[in-house]
Amino acid sequence: MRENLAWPPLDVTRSTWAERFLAWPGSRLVMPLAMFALAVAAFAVHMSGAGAHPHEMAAHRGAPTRIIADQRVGPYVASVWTDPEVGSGPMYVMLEAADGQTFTPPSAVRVGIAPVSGRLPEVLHDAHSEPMRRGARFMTDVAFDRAERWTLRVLIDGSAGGGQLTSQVAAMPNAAAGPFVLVLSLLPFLAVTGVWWRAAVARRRISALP
Amino acid sequence: MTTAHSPVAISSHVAPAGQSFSARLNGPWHERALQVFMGIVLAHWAEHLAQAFQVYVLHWPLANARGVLGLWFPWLVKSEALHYGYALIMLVGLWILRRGFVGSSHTWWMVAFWIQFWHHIEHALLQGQVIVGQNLFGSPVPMSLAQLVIPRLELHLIYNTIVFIPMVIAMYRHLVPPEAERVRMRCRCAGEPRLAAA
Repeated sequence: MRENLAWPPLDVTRSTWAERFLAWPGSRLVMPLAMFALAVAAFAVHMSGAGAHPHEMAAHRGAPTRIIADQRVGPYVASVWTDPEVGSGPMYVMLEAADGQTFTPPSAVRVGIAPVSGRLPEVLHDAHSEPMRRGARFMTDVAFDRAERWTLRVLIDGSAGGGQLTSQVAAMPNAAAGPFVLVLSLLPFLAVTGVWWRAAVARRRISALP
Repeated sequence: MTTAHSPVAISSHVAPAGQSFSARLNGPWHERALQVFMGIVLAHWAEHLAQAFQVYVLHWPLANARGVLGLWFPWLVKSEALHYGYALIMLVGLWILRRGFVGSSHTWWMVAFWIQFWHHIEHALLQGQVIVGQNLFGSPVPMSLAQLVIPRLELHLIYNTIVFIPMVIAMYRHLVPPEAERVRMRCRCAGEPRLAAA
């Protein structure tokens, strides 16, 4: 009589919480259902176009930090967020109506940057509007060419009024880990090669046994 | 009644008729399935290696350093689809291949699975913010929880590394197992079980 080999026997010598979960009969349904639901959700998001949201890469690009918080400017309360990396620095200008007023979107939002050292003249960038449920969000990418302190000016114009915000920000080298990333990306190949080689040696030894 | 390391049990590796797909994946097909899975994992690492090479050796601007696939399909890198798809494939692969592992290798494999499960939750959080149209912590972009602690590009690499390390340890323990674990294995990943033990 052959033993049923469909599933390996449970290892009764271990009883971690993970093992107890796996031993629970319902666990066989929970995970496939959860994965299926997540896959459907991901597919739906992607097909709806939301998957191509321009800022979805935030998790892989770095989160922005707020450098101006809830500052009154004209009829707006403004916050400015950025992730100031050398090369590319996304700038977000978040606007809400001040003092419970009706929100009137501004006609133009521009972001100006210049090195504090004065080695370059100010460069103005037009920010474009992005859909928001409340208030408005304007976004633009500015280019920091060097890791140093920069002066930041946000200019807001519109029929309801406008104004200017100023601040300073320190641009940082992108990918702070630097060439370490290159080494880190190489390690998996070395590790798998090492495991494969060790397994080949072990196999040869086993096959040589009587 | 036969034991797992008897000649009759071994013959089931060769003739798996009657076994479910999952049992075959974790038995006679386990070695091949693991090779394919590891190929996918290494292909992902190769993309990161290519990207790091473009940035640090070729000195391309970060925006242009899109790895290999991203050069031909830039939308892949710009959208969440590629990253989410890979996270999903990793999660599914770790789950469906888990039963082929026994003993300590199974423990390490499940460590990798649970870390990847959390990684996947983080991706789901990002997707959820896009669907709802409201970002966490008042951020202008969707945020994951780990970004609060590790707010930079390296987070993605860190996640992949901490999943990869227990996975490699599990692979090592699976391919070079202690004898007590090897005789309990249903696959040929560590070579033929020792018939002398029967």
